[in-house]
Amino acid sequence: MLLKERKLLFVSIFALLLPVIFFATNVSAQEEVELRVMTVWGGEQKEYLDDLFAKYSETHPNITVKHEVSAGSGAATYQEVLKTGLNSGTGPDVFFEWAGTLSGTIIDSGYAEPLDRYYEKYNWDDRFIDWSVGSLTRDKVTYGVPLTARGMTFWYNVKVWESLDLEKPESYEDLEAIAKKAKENGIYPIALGGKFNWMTMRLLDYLIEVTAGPELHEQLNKLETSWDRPEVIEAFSLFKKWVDNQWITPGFLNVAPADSRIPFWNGQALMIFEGNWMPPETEAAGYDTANLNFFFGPTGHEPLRITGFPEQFMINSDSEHKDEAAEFINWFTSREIQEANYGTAITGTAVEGVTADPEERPRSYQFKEELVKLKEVFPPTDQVFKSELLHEFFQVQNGLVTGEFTPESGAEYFQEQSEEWKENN
Amino acid sequence: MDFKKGNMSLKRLLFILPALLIYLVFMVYPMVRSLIISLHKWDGLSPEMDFIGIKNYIDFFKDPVSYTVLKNNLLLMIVLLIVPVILGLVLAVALNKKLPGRIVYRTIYYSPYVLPMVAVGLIWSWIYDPMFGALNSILKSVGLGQYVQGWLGQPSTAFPAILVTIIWRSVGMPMLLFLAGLQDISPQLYESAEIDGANKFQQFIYITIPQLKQSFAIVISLLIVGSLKQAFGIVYAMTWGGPGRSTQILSVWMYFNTFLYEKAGYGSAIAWIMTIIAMLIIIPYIRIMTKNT
Repeated sequence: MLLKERKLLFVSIFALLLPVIFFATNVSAQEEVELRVMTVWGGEQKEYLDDLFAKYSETHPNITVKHEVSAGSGAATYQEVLKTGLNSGTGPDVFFEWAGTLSGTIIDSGYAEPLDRYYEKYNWDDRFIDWSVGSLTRDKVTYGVPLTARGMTFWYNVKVWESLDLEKPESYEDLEAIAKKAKENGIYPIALGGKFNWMTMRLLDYLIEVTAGPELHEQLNKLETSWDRPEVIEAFSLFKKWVDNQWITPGFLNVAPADSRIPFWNGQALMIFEGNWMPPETEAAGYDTANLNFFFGPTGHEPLRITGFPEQFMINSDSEHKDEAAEFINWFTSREIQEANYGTAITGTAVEGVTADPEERPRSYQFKEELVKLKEVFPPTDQVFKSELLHEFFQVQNGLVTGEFTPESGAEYFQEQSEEWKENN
Repeated sequence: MDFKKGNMSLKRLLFILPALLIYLVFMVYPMVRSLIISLHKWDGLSPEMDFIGIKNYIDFFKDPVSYTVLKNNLLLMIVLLIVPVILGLVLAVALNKKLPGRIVYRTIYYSPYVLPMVAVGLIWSWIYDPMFGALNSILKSVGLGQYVQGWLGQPSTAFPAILVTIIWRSVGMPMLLFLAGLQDISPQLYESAEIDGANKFQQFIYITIPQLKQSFAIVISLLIVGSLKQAFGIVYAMTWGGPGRSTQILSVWMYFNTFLYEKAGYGSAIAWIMTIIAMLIIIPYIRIMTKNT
């Protein structure tokens, strides 16, 4: 073969191989991404989630989802662990957060990526319960994608309830009558775990909704009106009544919330104030969910509201994999994934139309059905006030129990603290 | 130039450099940084900090909660300096004798000290649990049901309950250090004293206690630091500073302000106040105790 022909042959072979080389190098050079996802879900749920996240890599081979959970008591330490990570530049790509002021500092500090472009790309506005997205929007910018739509209310032990021949209350007075009857029969009306303050807060929040009504409650939460007023004093008085009548499990101020479920499950307490995570938590603890039922606390106001809040995924604004993070969130919140994993990896959903199987998980199904009927919910106080002011609220709450505050002095004290906080912030 | 001497200095520096670097990076730098932060208003997360000078320190002494916190720490320190020291010394003297099974006893009394603080706090939280705890169950079973209460759920009993836990956890360390000190005391001192007519009590007062001077210096220094620092895990796990703020101590209050109230500047100032308190107590004490040694 002549030299010229050999050259031509080599060039032709190279030209033929070029696309193959390009394709091979392109594939092998595709970036391997480790997507760090931090949540507050431990225990059995973490195991389910780990299995689920591993499936993501089947359809996205270059992405490994690393699921990180805050060790120990989860909710009690999660915020500190997350914020330390964000501040030190070692924060996760995607992280779980609650709504309101709990994630407020993260937004204010610039660590939460605005997600409006992804809402448009993935059409998320049509996917979720309306109020769940609204709660994650601030100054017309949305910073989170709702994972769950949580509601908190009174759950009761069915066996104990039926043994006392009780009926669901239509009014707050009915609720007090239920508490009185339970106590007379040697049953604690309600189990609470007040160690971190937020469980006790749930009952107090409900009582404020009863005495103040929706409109005034909103104004109180926004500090648009004084807390030193008759409706607040009345709510504090009602709370003190629950304490003084020993309608709450003994020594509750320092019982951990998880531990407070034990007397409830064992039938020593009639009710507990918990959220729609109770059925899977009950099942995980080995108790029969058929022995669990709920009612929305009657307030005597229209519309009826319960405490509700979304939980969300946010994307770290320092993340180098924002698009991959959004893609992952889109997958996780898809109807297909939510339906398939409801009750195991996923214990509550904000996706419209997704419910638990009514045969397999009747309580979860029922709760979602009732929750979506509500026109609105009100946020828990720990998502309304910043930490410093919130802990003054907790001071009053605990002081009503210990006797440090009367309802009147408590209302006055909190109003003073609110004014001072507004001056300094 | 004495080249050999210079070379030797360089060699010395090279040998200490790794440890020095670790010390500078993990000890000195964080200390300096926290001092700088304490002079600022900062939420612990935002990119900017506002310089406010010593306002955080002034605010600490204006805050009514600070007095509850300081009072609790002072009480904790006093109790720790008395009870575990006395109990530790008594146990050390008893276990210094050739008793059968003394190694087992030493292990039993020392083992709480090696448990993590949080674990100790959780164990004792369960012991004090108002409905299911061992303490209330025992009281009911021995006919003392009228004393059953929510030990950690009321201000009047929460802090004393924590003190009991901390004492339980702390006895092992003084016991071990005193035991080591006792074994260094020459038996001839006791023999001479006995010959001179001293009884056991006199020997204890005039020989044992003075000979344990170094051990006392170490034990008391460690207990003072422990009262400021190590009690964090127990208080955090048992009461979270509550009920109300009745069991708040400096270390937990520092944590709350830094991480929960998002006042990292104020929290850092509390950390430095703790450091200054510790130094004001420990440095003179060690100087006195180690004088003429």
